[in-house]
Amino acid sequence: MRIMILDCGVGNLASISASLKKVGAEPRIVSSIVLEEGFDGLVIPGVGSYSAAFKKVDEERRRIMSIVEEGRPVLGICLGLQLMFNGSEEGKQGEEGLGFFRGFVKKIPVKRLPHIGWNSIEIAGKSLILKGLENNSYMYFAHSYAPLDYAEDDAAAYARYGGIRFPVVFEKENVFGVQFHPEKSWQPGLRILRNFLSLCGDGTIV
Amino acid sequence: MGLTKRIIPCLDVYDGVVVKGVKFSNLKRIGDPAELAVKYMEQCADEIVFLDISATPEGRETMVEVVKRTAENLFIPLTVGGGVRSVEDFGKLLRAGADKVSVNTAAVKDRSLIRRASSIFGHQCVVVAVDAKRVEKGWEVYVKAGKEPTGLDALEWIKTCEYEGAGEILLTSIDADGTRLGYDVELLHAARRSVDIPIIASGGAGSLQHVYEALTKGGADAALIASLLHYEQYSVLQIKKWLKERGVEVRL
Repeated sequence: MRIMILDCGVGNLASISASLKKVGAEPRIVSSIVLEEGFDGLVIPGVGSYSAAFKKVDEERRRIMSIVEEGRPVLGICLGLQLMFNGSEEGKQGEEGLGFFRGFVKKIPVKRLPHIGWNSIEIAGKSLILKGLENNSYMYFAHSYAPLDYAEDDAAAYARYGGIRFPVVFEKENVFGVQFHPEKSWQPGLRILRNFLSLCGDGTIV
Repeated sequence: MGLTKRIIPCLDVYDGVVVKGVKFSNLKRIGDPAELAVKYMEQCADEIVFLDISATPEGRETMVEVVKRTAENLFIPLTVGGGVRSVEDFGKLLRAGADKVSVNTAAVKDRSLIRRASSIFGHQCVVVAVDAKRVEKGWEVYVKAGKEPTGLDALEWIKTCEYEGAGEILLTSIDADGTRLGYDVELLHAARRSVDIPIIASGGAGSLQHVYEALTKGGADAALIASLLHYEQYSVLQIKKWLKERGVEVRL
């Protein structure tokens, strides 16, 4: 599968690229989305600061929309997931997100932030992107914001931290998003990326 | 179920090779950084830290190559530190495949580096390494690999780091480092009460009990481990299983 990774300008893209290769993909880091070249899917990694990632996604908005409308799978990771909502507290007023998922990203109301480290996730129901994963698998998180205002139908898994429970995996048709870093979550993380690749192919997840 | 405590192997890298020595002397070659990192990942390590101790411009270029090579096969977070001076150094290491960069002396010299780096790359990838030494009242920050006193109070300094945008603190006790007599639990505990960002305990681990104390009494979020692993005394998995049996939440 040929997968585009959208370069938001700063930070580590080597990890996501390496992990996609590990599960058998041909990843390519692009600074602008190529609609014509027959890529099978798109990853929005969203490493770096919010403003840099927002700026890039805003520039690419129409091309991202086309990919989704054509039915090609899109995976948002961490900040990349957060940009799939209507907006974020971290952004400036009027900065509208992609709106694939209804809701709003807010600072997590706990004392100990950032939320960094391995947290177990509770799988809430049927999910394509989480297929084959054990409930309470540990994933690596590094964030202070999360989509705390969301539609329950879109959420596929939750995490508990600091006495609260918040959604960390989203899926709706061909759009997927994870708050943690599958590329840094070893075997369970690689499983998610493998599932994403299958969804980019004929959709059969083994 | 929730957030686990982390066990983080630390590899000292000199000119592209993992070494071990007591207080920077009698360096002994241990192995290839990329290979050792993967070995520890397979033992269930939660993250890996590379510390570049060559501190020469050539050594630093070698480090970028080592990070590139490591990132191809490492699927847990990698932190790289040693000799980081500028936002450009952060960028180089992150682009090569590091997930976080740790900065020590340069942050003390110019604390705005913490803010500049975190506003460009995000808080989560800025780790401030703090070397603290016991003084009459509290602890003092030392720089230049623990050789130069700064007059800064360690607890005040980590509060400043948090305020400036650091994502984590890597806290080393100079007194305990290399002794294998245990972490400075009092220091960890005092630091825990001073800031909300995660604290990684470093320096002094000589037994499993020491690791346990740092994570429980000391309240540290993670423990950095070097010599316990290098001489194959324990595997990461053994350490974590031992902790789990004593009620510490770890990822197995």
